[in-house]
Amino acid sequence: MNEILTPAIDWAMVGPILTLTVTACVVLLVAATPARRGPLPFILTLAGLGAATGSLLALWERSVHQSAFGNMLVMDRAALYMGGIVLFSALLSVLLSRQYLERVPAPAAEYYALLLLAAMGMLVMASSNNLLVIFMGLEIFSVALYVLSGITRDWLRSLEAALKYFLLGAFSTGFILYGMAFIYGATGSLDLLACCRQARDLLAGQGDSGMALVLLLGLALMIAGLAFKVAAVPFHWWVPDVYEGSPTPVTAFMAVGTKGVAFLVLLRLVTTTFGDVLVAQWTMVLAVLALLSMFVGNLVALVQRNIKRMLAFSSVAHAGYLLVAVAAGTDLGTSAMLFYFAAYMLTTLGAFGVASLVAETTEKGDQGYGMERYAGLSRSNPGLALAMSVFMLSLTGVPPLAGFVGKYFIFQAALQRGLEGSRIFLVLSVVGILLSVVSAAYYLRVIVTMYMVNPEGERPRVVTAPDTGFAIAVAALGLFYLGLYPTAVYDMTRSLHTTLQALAALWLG
Amino acid sequence: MYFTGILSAITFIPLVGALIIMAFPKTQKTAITYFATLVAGVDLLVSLPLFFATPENAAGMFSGWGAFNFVEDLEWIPAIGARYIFGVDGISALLILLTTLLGLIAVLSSWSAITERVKEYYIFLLLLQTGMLGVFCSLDFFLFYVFWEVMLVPMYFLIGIWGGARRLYATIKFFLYTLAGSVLMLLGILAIYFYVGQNTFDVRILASILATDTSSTWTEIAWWVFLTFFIGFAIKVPMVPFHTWLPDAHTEAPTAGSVILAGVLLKMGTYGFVRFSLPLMPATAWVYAEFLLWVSVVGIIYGALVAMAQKDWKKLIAYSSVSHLGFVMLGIFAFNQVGLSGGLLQMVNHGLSTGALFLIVGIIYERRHTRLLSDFGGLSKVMPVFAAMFMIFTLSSIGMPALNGFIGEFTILAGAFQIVPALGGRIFAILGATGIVLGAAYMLWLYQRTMFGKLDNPENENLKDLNIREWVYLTPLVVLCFWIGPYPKPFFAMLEPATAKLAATLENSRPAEFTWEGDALLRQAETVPALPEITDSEGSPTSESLTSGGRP
Repeated sequence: MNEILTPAIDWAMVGPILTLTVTACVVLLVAATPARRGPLPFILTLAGLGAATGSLLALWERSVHQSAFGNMLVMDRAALYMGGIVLFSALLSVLLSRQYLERVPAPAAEYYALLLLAAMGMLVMASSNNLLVIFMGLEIFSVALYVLSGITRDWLRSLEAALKYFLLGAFSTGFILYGMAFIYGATGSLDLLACCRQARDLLAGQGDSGMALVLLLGLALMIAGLAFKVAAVPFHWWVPDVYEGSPTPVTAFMAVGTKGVAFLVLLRLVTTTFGDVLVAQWTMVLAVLALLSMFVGNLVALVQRNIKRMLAFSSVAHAGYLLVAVAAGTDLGTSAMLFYFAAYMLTTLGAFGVASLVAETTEKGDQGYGMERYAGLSRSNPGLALAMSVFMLSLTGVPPLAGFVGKYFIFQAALQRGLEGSRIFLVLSVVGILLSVVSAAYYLRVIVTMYMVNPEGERPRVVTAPDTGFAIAVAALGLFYLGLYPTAVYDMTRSLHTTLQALAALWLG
Repeated sequence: MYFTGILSAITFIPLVGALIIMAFPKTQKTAITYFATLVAGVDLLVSLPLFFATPENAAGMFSGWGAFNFVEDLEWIPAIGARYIFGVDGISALLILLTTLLGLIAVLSSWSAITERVKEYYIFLLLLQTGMLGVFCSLDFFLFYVFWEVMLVPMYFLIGIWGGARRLYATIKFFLYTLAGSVLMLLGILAIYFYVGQNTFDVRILASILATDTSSTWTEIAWWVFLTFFIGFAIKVPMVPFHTWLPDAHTEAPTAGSVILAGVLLKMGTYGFVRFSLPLMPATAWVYAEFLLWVSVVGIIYGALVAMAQKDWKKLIAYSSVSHLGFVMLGIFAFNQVGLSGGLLQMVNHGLSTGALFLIVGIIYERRHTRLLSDFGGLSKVMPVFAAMFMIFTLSSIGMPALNGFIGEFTILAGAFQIVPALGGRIFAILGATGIVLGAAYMLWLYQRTMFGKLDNPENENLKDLNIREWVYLTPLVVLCFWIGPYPKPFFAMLEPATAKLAATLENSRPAEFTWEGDALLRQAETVPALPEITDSEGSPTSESLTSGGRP
């Protein structure tokens, strides 16, 4: 009798994922005891995230390519890099959450557990090499985030956000699932790399010619679904309401984590599976999405008077910049996207962090996200105002901050393609760079209000807990570090393109 | 006296000062003010050796201002080839001296003018200083761009927090305008980077490769690159029609801000043309020459006419800047050594005299809190010393012989007379000269309306004349006006090697259709005395290759 062969499982490979899962379960258990009111869930969460980061770093040291569960998960450096960003942003948003949770009516322990689960799902998605695992990761973190966005269930806006996010999220999942089905239908495989070889054979004229169309449809639907998750126009309608209604630290984590892993999957899809097939098609689609996102995001953000909505549209615009880099499809593009994302993470977490501090909680919900509340902040809280200015200037792309270097890398990648003769990339780089000037107008408005507008009456001092302040300071200093000395991280991201390509090369031979 | 890190020291002393001020308690206003003054003073002292390192008296150590001296070259972002390269030739050295001098004067002029949020004010002022000095020192395009933009932020705060009534509008306009220009320039920089393809932003290498490149690919790309540079620099200068941010920014800025804006910030644009546009794309510069000359001349006349119609003292000076900067551009775009030297010297002159005029307005604004010309008249009776100082700077600004303005304008016109006839020839000199007449008109009229006549406004009767501090910061400017006027030689000596090289570069790429019978004559007149072989202090081969690339 034949034994069923089980693939050897290297548990260390899934160390970060396991650590997060176990911690989430422990925190959930604590939620059932009286200790839930104490600092225990917070400390456990931090410890879990720290342990996960540790095992992630250990994996980084091990080797460049490593896969687990019969190639379903690949723990390559691209996955580890994005996983690191997810864990770091989870860490920062947990630090931002503690003070926030003291004033809002939300169950803290459950909140932390869900956040850990969301991070875990993101890690799964980041390291997936298989259509089904992508879907699994996507659903794990999406469901956790649906609940998190509605966790302050007494607040109408929060509920609205949760419902909207859930409905539209389900819609986008449908797109992705449908796309996966088509790709599977055309290639007969769920493995991203196996798909890759099949797709190449298919388009080379071997096999059913009608299947090429099915493949194209699959790709289009996958891109549409992922565009939902990264908040690219025209799939961005949920963004402002969900960002505004969700508890602010959740918004920060959602804006970074979801976007990050969705971008990584998009990158895997276009650089490995579709690395040398249908290139003209996906390049054009991504370029158009990028153009639309930069346009709509920047122009609509101009008229926002609510800081969370402004940041929501700015995140749409940044999805556009990131898409420019992905569309470029070159090693410069890949590394630019990954580098920019690190800068984007710090600014987004920092800016939402400040926003959550400046706001106040009333019975109806969170109030005080209007721009006028920032008047005079530079006098009542000079440190906070300074940090916020750093975030805004980095989002604008002013040197010597990380946002500038990141944008520089992106437009460098785009212009390189443009000078090689691709007109759409010339348009993207000129329009994109001019739109980033437009963006200066609304980012500066925040600074103007903080420093140059006098408040009506006395501006009460915002109380900042040490952990919250620490998180914001880390974000601000990180921007200076990445802006003044980008070499360390940039060299890392430069090697990641090779990683992604090498994976495909391994299969294609 | 000289050490290799001198440029970094000059650039970063204000930054260090600003960081130290951050540690001061907010209430210690006097201590902060004194400390900021000390920092600016030290910075000026550290920069002074640059002046004495002229080719004549620095035998052995520095052989010329035509190459880059005091070079510092360190690795920064190897992946994109950006390096930390500092180095100065005669042009940038002179502008650095102007910056450190005006920096100290700006701090001194703020002692009593700024009473609110003193700590933040001096932090921003010193940060601005670092940004400006970095721009003049950078020889790496990427580094240059970083400083170029860094400079925007403190200026934006200075206008926005301590400015006049319409400060918010003015400051955002200033920021957006300049940002729009510079991001386009960034695309141009990137295009050069990719075209050269050597993974370097070192302008010395780029210039040596591009200056003699006549391939059709480069000709086509260079046309676009020159355009992006033109927009970036022209906004900063500002050249008509990109000038509309300037009157707003100037008028709303606090006095020190206006002084820095007029004295140094505007020079960034002209400096950009001289350092980057012309040496990197000399052939393309000739394609644009006619357009550039016309824009300059239109600026001269338009600025003067609009200045004449102003009712606000400060706005009048602001528009006079537009006119004067048009003059500077005319000299530079004459594309010969005389014009270049004149234009560059006039940059310094304009910094001194217009900077001083803004100080003058600041002094009176501090006493009367109005700048409307109709509020004044007969001030010379109550403030005789003030009136005398104002007279000197007025005359300097309109180009009175024996004062510095004259020598600059005269040299520019001399250069403009030699403009190639195919481009329009002497018409530019003639039109430019009418600008001088108009300049005399609006400045003297301004003087007459404010200083002479009856003292009919009772509020003006008890105005106090200059105090010691005001004496202290105006005197060096007066001295310099009287120095550069009769004896500009040391300044020209500093500029000459660099302008000779640039003029030769331009000459080499002059298209055949622009030759004319005057060439032979001019070549005789312009023969530059043979300079000693140029190497920079590091003996770096790169500047060597630039030299050989720039000359036949």
